[in-house]
Amino acid sequence: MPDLLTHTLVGFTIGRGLSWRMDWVGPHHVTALMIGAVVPDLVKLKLLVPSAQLAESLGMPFSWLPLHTIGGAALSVLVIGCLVGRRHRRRAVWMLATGALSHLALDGLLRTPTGRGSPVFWPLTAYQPPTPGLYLSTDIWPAGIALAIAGIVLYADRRLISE
Amino acid sequence: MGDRARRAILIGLLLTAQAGLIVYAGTTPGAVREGGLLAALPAVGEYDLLAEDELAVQADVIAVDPLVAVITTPQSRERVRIRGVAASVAAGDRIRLYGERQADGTIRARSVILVASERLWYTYAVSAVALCWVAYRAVRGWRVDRAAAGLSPRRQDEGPDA
Repeated sequence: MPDLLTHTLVGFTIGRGLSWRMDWVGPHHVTALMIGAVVPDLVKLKLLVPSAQLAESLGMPFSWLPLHTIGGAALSVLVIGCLVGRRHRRRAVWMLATGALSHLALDGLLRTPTGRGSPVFWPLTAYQPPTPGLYLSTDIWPAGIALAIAGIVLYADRRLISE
Repeated sequence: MGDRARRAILIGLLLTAQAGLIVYAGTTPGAVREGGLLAALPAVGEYDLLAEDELAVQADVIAVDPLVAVITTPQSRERVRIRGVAASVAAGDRIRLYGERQADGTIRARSVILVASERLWYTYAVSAVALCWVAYRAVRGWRVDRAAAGLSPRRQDEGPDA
C-alpha cells in the first residue's frame, strides 16, 4: 500500500469532488469515504499480531490476508455500515465502499518484486493482476502529490462555497 | 423483528463470514499461487513458496558482505544468505525479493526492492497522522444516536437516504 496518509488524502479528494456533483454529500460522508479508504489496511493488524502467532495461539489456521481483498473489505464495510443508523446507512455504505475501492485501486499500482499485485479477488480467484509499478509503499512523493491535489480541491471547494 | 435485532444478526453473520475467510486463507496458502508464477501476497508482505525453489519474501537485513537477512514466515524465522543483490543495502534495511533457493540453502535474487529503515519509520509516522486525522473527523462528523441505535451525522440538517 502507499502510506495511509496518501490513501486518506485521496479519499478526501474523491469525497470533496463528489460533493460538487451530488448535493447530498456532506463532510461526514467525506469522512465515511476516508474511513473506507483505511478499511483494507486492517490487514496491518498483522504488524501488531502476526498471523503465525495467532494461528499458534488459537490452534487453527489464520491469515489476515482476506482483509486486503475485495471480498474481505466488502465484509468490513458492511459491518461498519451496520453501525450507522438506518436513515443514513445506505449512503454511508456507498461512501465506505468507494473509499475501500480507491484503496485497493491505488495498491494495484504498487511496484512489487514480481511485477504482480496482490490477489485482490481471492478467494474467487488467486489471479494477481500485473502492476505498472508506479511507486513503493515507502515513497514520499505519492503523499506529496496527494496532498497538493487535496489542497487544490479544498481551495476550489471553498471558492465554490464563497461564490 | 426490529431493525436493531436484524442488524445484530447481520453483523454476526458478516463477522462469521470474515472469520471464515481468515481461517480459509490460513489453510490454503497454495490457493494464492494459482498461475504458478508469483508470490502470494507481495503487497501485504506475506510469504509463500511459489514453486519448489521459487519464493517472494520480505526480509530484514542483519548483515552485509555477505548479505544475510531474516525471513519471517508463518512457520519459522529463518536466517538466509542472499546473493545477487546489486543495490547497496545496510543492516536494518528491509528488502522484498523475488528469487530462487539454491541447493546450498542460499537465495539468488531475481528482483529486489530495497526499503531503507528510515523510510519505514516515515511510513509508520504519516500513517499514524492519517489515522488521527480520520479519527478526529469521525468524532466531529458522527455521533452515537441512542434513538437510532447507531451512528448519525452531527449535522441536524442531514436528510435521510434517498
